[in-house]
Amino acid sequence: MTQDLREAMAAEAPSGEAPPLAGMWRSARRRTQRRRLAVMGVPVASAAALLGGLVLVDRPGADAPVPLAVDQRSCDLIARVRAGDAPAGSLRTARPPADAAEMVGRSTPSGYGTPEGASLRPTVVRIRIERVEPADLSGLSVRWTDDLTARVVEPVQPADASGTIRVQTFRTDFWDDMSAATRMVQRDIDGVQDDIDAASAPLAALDQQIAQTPASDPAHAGLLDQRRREEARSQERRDALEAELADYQQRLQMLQLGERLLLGGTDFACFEPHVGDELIVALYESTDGAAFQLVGPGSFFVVDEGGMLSPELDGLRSAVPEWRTPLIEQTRGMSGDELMDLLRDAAEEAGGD
Amino acid sequence: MGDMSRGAGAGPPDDLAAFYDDQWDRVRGSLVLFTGSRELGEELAQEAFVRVCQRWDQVRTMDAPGAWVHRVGINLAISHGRRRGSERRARRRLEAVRAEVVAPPEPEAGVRAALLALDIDERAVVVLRFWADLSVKQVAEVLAIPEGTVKTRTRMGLAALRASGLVATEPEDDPIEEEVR
Repeated sequence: MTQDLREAMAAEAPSGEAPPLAGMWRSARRRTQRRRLAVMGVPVASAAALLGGLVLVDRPGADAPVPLAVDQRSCDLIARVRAGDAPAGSLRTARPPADAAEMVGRSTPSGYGTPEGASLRPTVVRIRIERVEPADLSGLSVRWTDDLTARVVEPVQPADASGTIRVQTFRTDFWDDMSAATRMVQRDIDGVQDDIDAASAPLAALDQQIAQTPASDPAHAGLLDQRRREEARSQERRDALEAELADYQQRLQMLQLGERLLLGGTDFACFEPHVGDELIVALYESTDGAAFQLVGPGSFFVVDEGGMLSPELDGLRSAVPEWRTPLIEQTRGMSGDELMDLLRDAAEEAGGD
Repeated sequence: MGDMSRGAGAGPPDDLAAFYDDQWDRVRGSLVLFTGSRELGEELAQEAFVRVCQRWDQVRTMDAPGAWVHRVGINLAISHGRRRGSERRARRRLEAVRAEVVAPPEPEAGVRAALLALDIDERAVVVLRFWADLSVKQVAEVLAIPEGTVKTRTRMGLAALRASGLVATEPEDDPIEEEVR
């Protein structure tokens, strides 16, 4: 009877405690409250074959007059206020500033929850991501993953010397797919490397034999001949494997970058900060209760471990014409310290405060 | 959307909570069996119910809301499997993977292993018919296929499971044919 099947299925899918509906309800609410969700593909040639294009999603605030992401070429770096802490807020991105003067001095971009004509000096600081706390929502395909505290480590202007912000990023199943793809490509690389080692093993063994055989030994010439034949025989295979390895390595680099730059889905971040990352950011105070806005991605810069501005981020950013501002061009190859100096000079020229 | 636009403190409405209590195990079980993975099945089931929450005003008025949430879940699982399939295709040196949908069966999971060995279309029909207890008509609606196709796939799926020993063979009084009819 199919009763067998029903019983077997029941044994394999035993009932268990259902997760709280309230969590799903809240998740659904967040999606519904979204005012606009626009998707754009960014042509990233090397990643396109695997990813089909970089996807950025705009998730503007609830009541702000909202420019379309496709117009602004912008996306959010999610950050929120930690109750009781100074500054933070919904750190929103917009079009990048044209130059250093604009980054340190321009008015809050229009259309992002600020009054028309408002002129608010941004807080431009270098921050360091300090720790990750466990997320309180887990198990959903779209979920908070990281709760990061970022501390101001260096201000452009002394008045901005202190402050803590809390940065949150959403992870989506799309992000998880990216991570899975990265892991698989890494395994492929390991596998190809093993194949290369295996294909080269006979040559290595012969080399060892030749090294151990005196040239005067009659066997020496035979070994040399055998090595030539082996080399010729395996050359094509080894070349193919090397090419395959290079291909996988290139894919891996793009995936690793993509993992950090794109989170698709209903909520998202366009860049996922990690603990230890340093960012140079411009924070704009907003008037809608959220304390600051981050204007970028043209106006946030990632400082890599060597103290240089992340070339990968800039390279990808340059793939979007609207993000390729004179500031991006000017800062290419700069260190974080040099950019801070540039911004300080710009602030001084603007009169500072 | 009426309910979703309520105040920040508003929780799910009572009829949604009742629907969830009634359907969770069934949907979760279907997706666990369909995907072969408890973790993935649960995750997909949660995602399906998030979508129910988003559209509860419409879902509550449906003739068969349980079938609808199954359809969402199965579609999510198939989409997930397709994405994984794309990744697998990138793995040029890997042997072809039989299952269309994700995780390999856990060693102890006899029925899941047997189900994963089925063609994905047959697996969907078998799970929906014999786990979710949907009628032939409902399965046809969920999978957007003719009822005759549901019957055919049921017959083929059960035959494969019978060959695997999961379903008893009783040739003189073939209950499978009864089920299919």
